[in-house]
Amino acid sequence: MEPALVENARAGDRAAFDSLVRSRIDAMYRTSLAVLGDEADAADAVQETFISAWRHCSELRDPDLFDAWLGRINLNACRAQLRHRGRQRVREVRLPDPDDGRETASTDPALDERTAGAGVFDRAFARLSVDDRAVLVLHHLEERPVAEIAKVLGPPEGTIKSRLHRARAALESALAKESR
Amino acid sequence: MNDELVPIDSDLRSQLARRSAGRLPEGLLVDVTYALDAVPVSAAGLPRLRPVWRGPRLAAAGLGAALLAVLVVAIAFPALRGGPAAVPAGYPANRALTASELNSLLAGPPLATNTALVVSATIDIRMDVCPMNRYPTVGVIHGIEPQICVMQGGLPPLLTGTTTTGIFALRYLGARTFGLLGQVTPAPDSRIALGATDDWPLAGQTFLVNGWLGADDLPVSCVSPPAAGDVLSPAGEDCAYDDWLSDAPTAEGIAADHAAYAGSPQTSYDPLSLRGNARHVEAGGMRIIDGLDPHTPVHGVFVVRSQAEACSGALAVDSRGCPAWRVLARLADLSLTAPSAVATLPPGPTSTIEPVTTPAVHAPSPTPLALPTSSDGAAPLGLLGSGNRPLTEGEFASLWAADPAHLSGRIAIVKGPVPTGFECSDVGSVASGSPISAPGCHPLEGQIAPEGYWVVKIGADGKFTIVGELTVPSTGFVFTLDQVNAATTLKRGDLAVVDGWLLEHVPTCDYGPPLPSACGPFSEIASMATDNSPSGIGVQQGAYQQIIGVAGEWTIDGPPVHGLFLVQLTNTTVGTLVVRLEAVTP
Repeated sequence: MEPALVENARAGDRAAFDSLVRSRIDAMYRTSLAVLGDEADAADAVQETFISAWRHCSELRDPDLFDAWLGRINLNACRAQLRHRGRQRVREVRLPDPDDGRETASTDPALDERTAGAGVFDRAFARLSVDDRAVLVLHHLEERPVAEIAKVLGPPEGTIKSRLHRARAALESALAKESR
Repeated sequence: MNDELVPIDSDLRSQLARRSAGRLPEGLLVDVTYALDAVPVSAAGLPRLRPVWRGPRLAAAGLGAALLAVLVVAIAFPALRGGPAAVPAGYPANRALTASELNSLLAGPPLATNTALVVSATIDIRMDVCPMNRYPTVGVIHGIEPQICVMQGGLPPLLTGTTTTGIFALRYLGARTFGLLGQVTPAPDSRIALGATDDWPLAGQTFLVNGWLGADDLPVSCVSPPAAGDVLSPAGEDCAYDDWLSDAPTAEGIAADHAAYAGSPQTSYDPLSLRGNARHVEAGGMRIIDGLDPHTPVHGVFVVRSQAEACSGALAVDSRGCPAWRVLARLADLSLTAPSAVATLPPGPTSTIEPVTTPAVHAPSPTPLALPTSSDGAAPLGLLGSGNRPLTEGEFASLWAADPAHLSGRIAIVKGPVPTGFECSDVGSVASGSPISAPGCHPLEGQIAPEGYWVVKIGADGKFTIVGELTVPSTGFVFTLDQVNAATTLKRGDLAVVDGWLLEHVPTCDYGPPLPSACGPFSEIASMATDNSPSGIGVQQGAYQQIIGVAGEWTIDGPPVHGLFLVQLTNTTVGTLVVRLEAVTP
């Protein structure tokens, strides 16, 4: 079913590509959000990803690598968003949404502590490169095998393992700086 | 189950899960679908190539483009350049080229592909000329013959009306064809280029900035290198670099933003604002196109556009917008070839040609010669002598005396020794419309090539530029395709005249942006065959389609065409199509 959709999308079948979009947009948005930490940026990255994928779909040689290919496009889109972030004239401010499950400021001391911890983490995470963020998200959040991460990020598996170590060390260092 | 080297960290996982929690934004799926609708159909889902062309196509895309680049470099910087160079005073910071200066420039040594320049001219808006599949036609430069085509890139606004007069930033695509980077909003004083610290025009305007383009490293790295994008609408991102335009080789204000950007929380600032003596700009794509190293600030006059309509993908559906300054090109350092005092004859009517003899230069021919021309009077074809042989000196002298402007810029096949050019001294008789005899035109002293068959380009001043030596078969002058395929002596780079059919094109380079690295700005792959079946030799068209694609002629989407073609070979099955050749007719 999926390979057929990818094949059809490669041949220019827009309905097939739409099906691929629908089945992947949620996961892609969450990955983007974890990497970027900003809903609007994540949404833009998702949109850019699918646009680019549709433009270049016919160049995809192996349908089995569609998800890895899409993941790589998505990370490039995240990288672009990160660069744009420093140039935004107006930053969108996220208002608390009682239904979105996120921590918000409260009078509960325990919750405040957690929120403060989240702030430290987010600031530390923002110090990392997109590649470091991506490898941590793909491994620790999405629990993807190293072989699959390698397909998304490009380098061989051995390099991915060392990148995981390096990214983790960079995060620890950033956390230490943000906690001072 | 994940049993990798680094175990899953539950604390880290919970933090990341928190970051990624929440609902998919309402309307995102609809937005994506809407944005996909806006993607041009031609950019997606292109039909796959017929298998028979795949081999030659891929080889041609890679090697043919490389050859084309080599050819462009070779002929752009020849050892033999015609005439002394003269840089127009004040260009480009204070004034643009005039249309006639542009015409003179094109009559000299060939421009390198993607050369950017600025010209003050009137464009006749016409859609019925200069067919090209990659770019739609804007029109032609008013009052210039042979015509100079202007093509439209993806940058709004489109020019409309019947004529538009102004200052235009252009990129050279090939064969008297330019792509429009934009209509320039000049500086509000005697200059046309703004300084880095001047107020820059907003709202999608295109303008020039005289300053330094530099870049700072960013704390991000690239999985893949940045893409150039379309040459007329280059991609903005430079991935790991933050580009700036400054009035000096340094930009302290940018560096301060950079430091803030790397920290947390991130500092917001107006992305269009002046940061000390510089502004943040996006120059990733043009750096690749113009070959600018991000590690070294470079001075020049840059074509800049206020990119206010959308974010990086230029999507109309992006509601927030992503204001930025997008650098489109660096204007080339140009020099104009000074016209020769003895070879600037005004074009004369063909009917005044006095018969000259061939091959002797100084003796009359029994019959007048006529150039192969298309119905609209353009000069689209390379030249052979009558009877499909090299052009003789006598034929050339006769043609030159009749209509030098019609020869300017053409490629011709001649037999050596090749003189440096021709001059005609009997100006008065041409100007008065009375017959001019061949004795008035004679080869200039000196030779630029010895015995042999040569491919030359004809300058407006009557001087030749050597493109290369022609390789000929053991018997005769023209290769059949079977001879090319079977030849063991042909090698990479050889120029050959090939008799064959040129079949329909395959737009392999219309996938972008970004364009595949093998693609030139409008490269096409065609197939040459011994008949109208798809076999024989794959050829990368390059600028060829511009040369033959004129009104009344075969166009790139037309039927197979039979003829003699000048091909620069990559090997015996792949080559670059330089020009279609036609004989002058007695």
